[in-house]
Amino acid sequence: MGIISDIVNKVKILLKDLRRHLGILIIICLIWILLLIGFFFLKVYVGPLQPDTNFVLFLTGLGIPMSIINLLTGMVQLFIAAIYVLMWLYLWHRLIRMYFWRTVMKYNPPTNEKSDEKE
Amino acid sequence: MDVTWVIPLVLIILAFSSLIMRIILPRLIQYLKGKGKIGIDVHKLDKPEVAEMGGVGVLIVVCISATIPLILFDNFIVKIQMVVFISVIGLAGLIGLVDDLYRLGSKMKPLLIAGASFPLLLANYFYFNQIFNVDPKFPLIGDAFQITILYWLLVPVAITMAANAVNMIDVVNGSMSGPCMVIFGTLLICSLTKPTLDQHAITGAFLSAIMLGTITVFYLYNRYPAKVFAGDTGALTIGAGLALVGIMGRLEIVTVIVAIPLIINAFQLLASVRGFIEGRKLKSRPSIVQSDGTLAASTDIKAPLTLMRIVMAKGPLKEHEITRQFIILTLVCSILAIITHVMVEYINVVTPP
Repeated sequence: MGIISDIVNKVKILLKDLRRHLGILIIICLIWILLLIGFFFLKVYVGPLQPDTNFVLFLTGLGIPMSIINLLTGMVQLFIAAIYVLMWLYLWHRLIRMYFWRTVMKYNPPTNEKSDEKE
Repeated sequence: MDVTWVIPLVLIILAFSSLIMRIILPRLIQYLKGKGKIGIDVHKLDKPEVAEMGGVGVLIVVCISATIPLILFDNFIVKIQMVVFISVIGLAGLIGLVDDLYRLGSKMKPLLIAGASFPLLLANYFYFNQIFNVDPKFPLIGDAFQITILYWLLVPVAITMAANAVNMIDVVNGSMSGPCMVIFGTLLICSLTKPTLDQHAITGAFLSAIMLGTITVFYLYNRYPAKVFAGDTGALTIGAGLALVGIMGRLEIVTVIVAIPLIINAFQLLASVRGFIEGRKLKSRPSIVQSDGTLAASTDIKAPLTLMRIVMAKGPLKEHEITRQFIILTLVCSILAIITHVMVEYINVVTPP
């Protein structure tokens, strides 16, 4: 009986902790889903991006080699991917900040009586 | 020794690293105390003295344990991967040791850690991309997305970020070793459940087992009330180990997902203070020790937004409760990481060209 009540108590503590952090857990799940969507978006829409055939003919006509055109195409793809990653990081940053300050203001804010020395 | 011996060898490594750590760590604690290498546990009211630089034990045990697959497993590339692992971990640990003893600058340390990745890059260059795969596997799309050149540049960045992220989360008793235990446990499961046990999966399993066995025993001494602190030596060794499991085990995305609590902490801290800064130079602290011994989140707008501060947003917590919250968050991320692993290995919605 002692072991069972011990397990029940631990499960209760776990559920209480999960409820306490529901906000953070929702944010973590959201950023995880956005990461998966991001990979899919990059593969399906950004990966196959190629310059228009007429534009390639125009550039090769100017004497620009195909290797440079391929490099430029790769750089454009990388730029789009970088913008997505930055947007993802910014959203993550804002969500966490918003969650923290709203929660602190809602629950009794502690007074800054003494700062600790570690960290 | 062939693939059928991988699981028994993983169990041997787990048992060996735990046993060696159990033998070494208590003696190391006594030695460090004797040499005066002690720190004050500032989150307790009675400010007890605790042995510092216990991470030296982690470094020694990890290096010794890595010699088991090096001797017993008959695969040349896996042997080279173990040598690379010992080299990179050794360099990262040494940087941590120097930082513990003499204090490196906040900008110098990341640069030196990035330099620790040199043996890994060199070995991959000489062994024609067999040490790590430059085209990582992504969820749902497999390895159809290639970032060959970028990957070489990302390797030093990943090792630096992982080492610093682990170092930054080491704020209260067990707050680093507890979540890291969950992380390496998840990486071990993911390595062993790959559809084919190729050399990357085998290396991932061996390295995860080495780290898991060592950190589990370290956690028993580092949890509340701590008998030993890891110091920068331990944090940088474990952080570099985390990055190496991800890179050489071909578990990059899974590692990122399972380490989300560490990334939240590091990213929010860096964004708050706008760059690398030494913890002791922070003007405003993220937490406050209250008169009843609990810790509360600072409401100072200038204080860095760390994970510890975030979990205390709903009210003050005891030190061991903070560590429990960190472990619970890591466990949730571990579930997400295992789902991601299934998506990476078993579900491919986009046919590769």
